[in-house]
Amino acid sequence: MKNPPYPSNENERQKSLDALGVLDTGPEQAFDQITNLAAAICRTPIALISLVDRDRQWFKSRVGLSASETSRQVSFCAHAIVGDGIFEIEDARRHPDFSDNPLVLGELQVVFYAGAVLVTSTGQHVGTLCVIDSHPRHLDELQRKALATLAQQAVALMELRLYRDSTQKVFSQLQEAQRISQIGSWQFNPVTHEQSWSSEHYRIFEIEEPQPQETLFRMYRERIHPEDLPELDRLIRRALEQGEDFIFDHRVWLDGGTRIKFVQGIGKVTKDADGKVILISGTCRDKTSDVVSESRYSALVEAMGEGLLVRNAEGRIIQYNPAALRMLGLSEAELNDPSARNPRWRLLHEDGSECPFGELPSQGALGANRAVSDVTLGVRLPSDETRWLRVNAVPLETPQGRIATITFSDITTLVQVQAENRFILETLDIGIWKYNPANRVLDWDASMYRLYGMDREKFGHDYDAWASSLAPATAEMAKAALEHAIEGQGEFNLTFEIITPAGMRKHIGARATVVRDEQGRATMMYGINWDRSKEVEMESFIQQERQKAIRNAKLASLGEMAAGIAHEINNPLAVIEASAFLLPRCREDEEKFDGRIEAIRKGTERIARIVKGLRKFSRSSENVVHQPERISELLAEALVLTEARAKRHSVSLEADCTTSASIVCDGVEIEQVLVNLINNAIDAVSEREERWVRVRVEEQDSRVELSVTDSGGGISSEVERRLFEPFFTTKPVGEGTGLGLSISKGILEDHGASIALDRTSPNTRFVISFSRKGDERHADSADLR
Amino acid sequence: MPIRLIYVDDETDLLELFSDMFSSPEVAIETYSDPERALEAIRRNPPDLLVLDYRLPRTTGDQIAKQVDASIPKVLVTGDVTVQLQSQFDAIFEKPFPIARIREFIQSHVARKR
Repeated sequence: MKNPPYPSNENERQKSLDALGVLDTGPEQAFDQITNLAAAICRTPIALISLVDRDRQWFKSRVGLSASETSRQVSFCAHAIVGDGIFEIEDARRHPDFSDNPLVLGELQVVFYAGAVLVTSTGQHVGTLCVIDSHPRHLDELQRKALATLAQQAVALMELRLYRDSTQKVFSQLQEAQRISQIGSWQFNPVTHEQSWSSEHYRIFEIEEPQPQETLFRMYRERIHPEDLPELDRLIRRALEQGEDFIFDHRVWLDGGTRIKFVQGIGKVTKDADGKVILISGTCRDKTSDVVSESRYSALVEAMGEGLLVRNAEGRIIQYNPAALRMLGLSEAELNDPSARNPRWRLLHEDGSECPFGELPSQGALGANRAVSDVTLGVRLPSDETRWLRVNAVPLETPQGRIATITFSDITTLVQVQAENRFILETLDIGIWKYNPANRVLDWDASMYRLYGMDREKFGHDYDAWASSLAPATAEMAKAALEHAIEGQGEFNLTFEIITPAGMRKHIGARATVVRDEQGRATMMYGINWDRSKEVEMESFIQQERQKAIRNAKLASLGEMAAGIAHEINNPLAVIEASAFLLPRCREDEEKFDGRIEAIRKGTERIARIVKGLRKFSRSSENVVHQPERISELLAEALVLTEARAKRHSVSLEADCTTSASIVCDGVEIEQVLVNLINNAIDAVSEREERWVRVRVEEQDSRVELSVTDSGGGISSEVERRLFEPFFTTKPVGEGTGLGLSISKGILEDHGASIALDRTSPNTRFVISFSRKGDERHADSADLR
Repeated sequence: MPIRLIYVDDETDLLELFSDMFSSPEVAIETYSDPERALEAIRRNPPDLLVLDYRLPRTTGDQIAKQVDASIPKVLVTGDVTVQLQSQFDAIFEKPFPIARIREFIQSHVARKR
């Protein structure tokens, strides 16, 4: 076994993996969807999102596997991450690097492996999305593309998760920082000059509670820093005279000026119906600790990788950090400019449509007074470049009114990757769907709507909407397949026909996997649909071509046989003719006379048998009804048509058929297969020392096996590999069409039968295996009649 | 002395019938169903006329014709309608036999021998 090599940048790679913070986290539906899809598309029992850690591979998501990790040493993925793209091992048992790998030899039987490398946005190969099967096979082009796309999706999901987590962390830090608010309150009646303070207010000003009205205002003024007093008087005057609210940031002067507090007072004016000020009420808050922590807070905000904006109730930006400027690509002046709401600076919804100012996350937070999280927002910059941001917004009540704190991270690269993925999935024309059997709700992606030619708005999101688009011919079959898959009675892998609302018929290929709970109940079904119309057309075209080829081959073999048949008829005819000619001469010799008559009878019988065999070939192959035919009779007729050739080449042709079994078939076609096979066998041994062909029919349980063995010594593996290919022949040019075996195989497959070369036989031995099921079914229906 | 005719055919029934039909005091007929044995007999004692079936076990009438003295007159008889007249044959007759024409042909050789 070859140990997986370490990538040259292993240190950076490991750092990137650690930074993703995915290792040893619990299962998540979003990742399970990806593995389920991968398994469905690639048709494998196992699909994994595998992360290659220091000395292990750990599975973030797994379908069809119970282990959550394995050692890195035996990991296929550890090999995969050294390269790019898709790492595929068709048959690990025959691969020098893997043939003795414990995963291959063990219970798991990793025989087929295909892994698409998970590449982070920084270019690190952290793991793979891989599919595994216990049989050798390979992925087709569509499956490779889908696997690569799903791998990108998996990485995008991990990175998105990381961004989301980090913005939320910063956010709660901010909330924590802003929760420090010990607020005192006060009231002043300008008419009675009466004022009252809350306990907190007394405490902030370090005045003993309570104090008589007369001394309260004086004591308050004494506590105000002398430099701030003029501003206080000005604000009070304006409040009383003009009814203006105010904010008063000032210093509190304590212990004769040796100690200072930073305090913010806020005043709100209440007026009566005539506009006369009747009450000023307000709050005051000790900001001293804030001022200290504010310097820490601003350091944090400055250093934050995420962008931060604070908008006031009017939507004006009142605070921001350098990251915000960087991400928005704006200068400080541009951001401060009220024209930030101007059309040069367009905001977009996730779907690319214009996002009006009122629909911004910050406005949503301000309006509804609740947090808005994880909104994707596009910013079209004056440079015409679009940046995509993942935005969180939280409203906060402040003395200045409600504000919104907005944090955001730049996810432009991620959005681009996702758009690319969507584009690839769309161009692959694979629709993705999800069906919940419990409430019969069906979810479609955009490609599904396109596939079914339906409007997203008009679609009912349920099973019935899907069922109604099925074409009658395949509707019951498709519905039954869905039910069976849910009940665990079979896999969902079929082609059905739909009629779109516009009346277009399409052949839809469908595959799905079913997710089950611990009791085995189906909880969700994930699947794909794609347009197979072209393929189906092609299949029916190929089928027609094959029918044509069969007809032509039939004619060709008939032509070839014609000479032999003429010979076979003309010989007994010559006997009859000569016997009849000589008959009058031997009237006297009774023995000779009887001999002549017998020769005539035998000759006639021989001709009759040949003509009967020929008659079958003359009828049309269209609309043939399959009916039960005794295999012994089919064989007998095939022998009549091949005996001559055997005799000509001095090949002994023996047949042993003891069964009276019947098979439901097109007798002519099966006979043609037998003639073909026997003729091939005769040709194969005609040049050999030992020349014999033996046909044997045996019953094996529910099957009938017919074998054709010749004295040849088997077939080389090179020839064996190509044996059933059309136009493959070992005969000299002009002597074989090379269609025989491939057509025989096609004919047999149409009859639910198979043909194979028996490699265990020391001679060349072909075995045809017929199912007798059709026979029984036919017998039943015959009884009913 | 009668002329000597050798007839080779793997259809054994026909060998006897052929002899019965065309033997006469002027024509002595030997028949063979095995091409090898026929070739031996021809080489040992070349006949005056050689009648060969086309399809024979493991060989054909014209293959045998090539292996014998070119001066021996040869006739090909066959049930196979696709066989063309080969240059080394003096005549070709299709089966079933045109009895009169064959008799005529044999007679002409009897006359020539005289």
